[in-house]
Amino acid sequence: MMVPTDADPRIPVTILTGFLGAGKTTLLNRILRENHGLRIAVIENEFGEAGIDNDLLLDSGEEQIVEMNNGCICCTVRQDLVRILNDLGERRRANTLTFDRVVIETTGLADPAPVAQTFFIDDDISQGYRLDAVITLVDARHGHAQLDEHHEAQEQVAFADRILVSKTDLVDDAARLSLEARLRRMNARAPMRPVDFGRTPMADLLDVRGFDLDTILELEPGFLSEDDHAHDEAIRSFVYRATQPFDQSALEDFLAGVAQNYGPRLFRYKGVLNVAGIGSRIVLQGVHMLMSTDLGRAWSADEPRGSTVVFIGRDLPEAEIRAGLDGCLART
Amino acid sequence: MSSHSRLLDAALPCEGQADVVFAEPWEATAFALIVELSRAGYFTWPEWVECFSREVALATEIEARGEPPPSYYEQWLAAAEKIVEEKGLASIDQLRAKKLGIAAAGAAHVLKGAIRKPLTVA
Repeated sequence: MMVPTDADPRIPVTILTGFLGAGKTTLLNRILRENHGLRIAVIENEFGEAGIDNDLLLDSGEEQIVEMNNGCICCTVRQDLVRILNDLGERRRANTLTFDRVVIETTGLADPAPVAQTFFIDDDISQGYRLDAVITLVDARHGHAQLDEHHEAQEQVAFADRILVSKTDLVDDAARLSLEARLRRMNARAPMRPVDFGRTPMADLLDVRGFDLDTILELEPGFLSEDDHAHDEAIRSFVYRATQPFDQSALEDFLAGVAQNYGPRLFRYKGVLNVAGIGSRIVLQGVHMLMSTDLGRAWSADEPRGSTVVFIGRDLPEAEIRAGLDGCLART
Repeated sequence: MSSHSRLLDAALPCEGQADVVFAEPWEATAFALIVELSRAGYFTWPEWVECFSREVALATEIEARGEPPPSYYEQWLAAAEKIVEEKGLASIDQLRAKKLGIAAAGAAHVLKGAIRKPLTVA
């Protein structure tokens, strides 16, 4: 008999992104030095000023972005990471290095997509490692300016499963709230919290399960009641909701079109779908054109059924996508 | 090495013996899955043959009506869906849920490793 088990044997991985000065190095120092009872291997693209002598601190060398599948944009992977993760896996199997988790620090200018895609495209990596979450650090004092000036900073926010806002003690409440409102418009699904690097609990960084299809889609309250439009962002998120069930084959065709036409601009999407004729939720998630669906929890008799999907992307035609999804609802 | 070729290497009796020709990678995957599930004891080979024969009979009827019948591996896949449901390995709802993303993204663009819970044999 086949039984489901909770034990996923793969090594969990956290991707830590954030712009210069947001405090990634401080955080990494804590991960490496603090006695938190975990053996965490840290991969950096280039050694910073940490100056730590630690066998768990590794340098992946220069970023090597490789296009798989005939140059398809969503199939780019970081070959430098593939190499070092395979090497780490071998050392772990040979018992020459012990670790339970991996944290990858990306440079401030790195595009998070190829880093994340590495875990979904490369067979060896996807079998040995589980991407837990993308965590993005934002500097409360310089966040607005960095988001204005660098599209990479915006993409790091769009990709995040969790946003940590640092240095909130250096700004007043109005500045902090305005930044948080802006981040929320860009990413409606990532929980956001202020961090103090001296005390941030490790639990805020580990086991976020951002790519886990079982994670309930929890949208941050206040997302739809937003009135600060000072920054008209190219990157933003929107939430689609419907109570009527979807017709599966219409939805398949429509999502195929969305992935084909808007995939490169669609950073993350995640949702729970109510599909006609299926007694359980279908959970959906995607990164650019890469997508997966699975059966989720059963609808109970006394709960209202409905679909909720959040889309995060650049210049997405929101009205068109909404109308298209409405067109996939089953006629009753 | 891709996952389907790995699966196939494990499933095929040995090199040279196999006179199996696949037109598409999914055909090899479907073939290898059935061989492996049978080997792992989820159903016997005669049970599979019986299940597959029903699909072949259906295809023959379709052809007899002058309509284009499903291809050999489409018949194989239809039988595979039925036997995994009959044996309680996956429900029709599970298959439909998986199919949604595969149909929308295309086989090359399925997020690998986004499995929810691994299945183990008890």
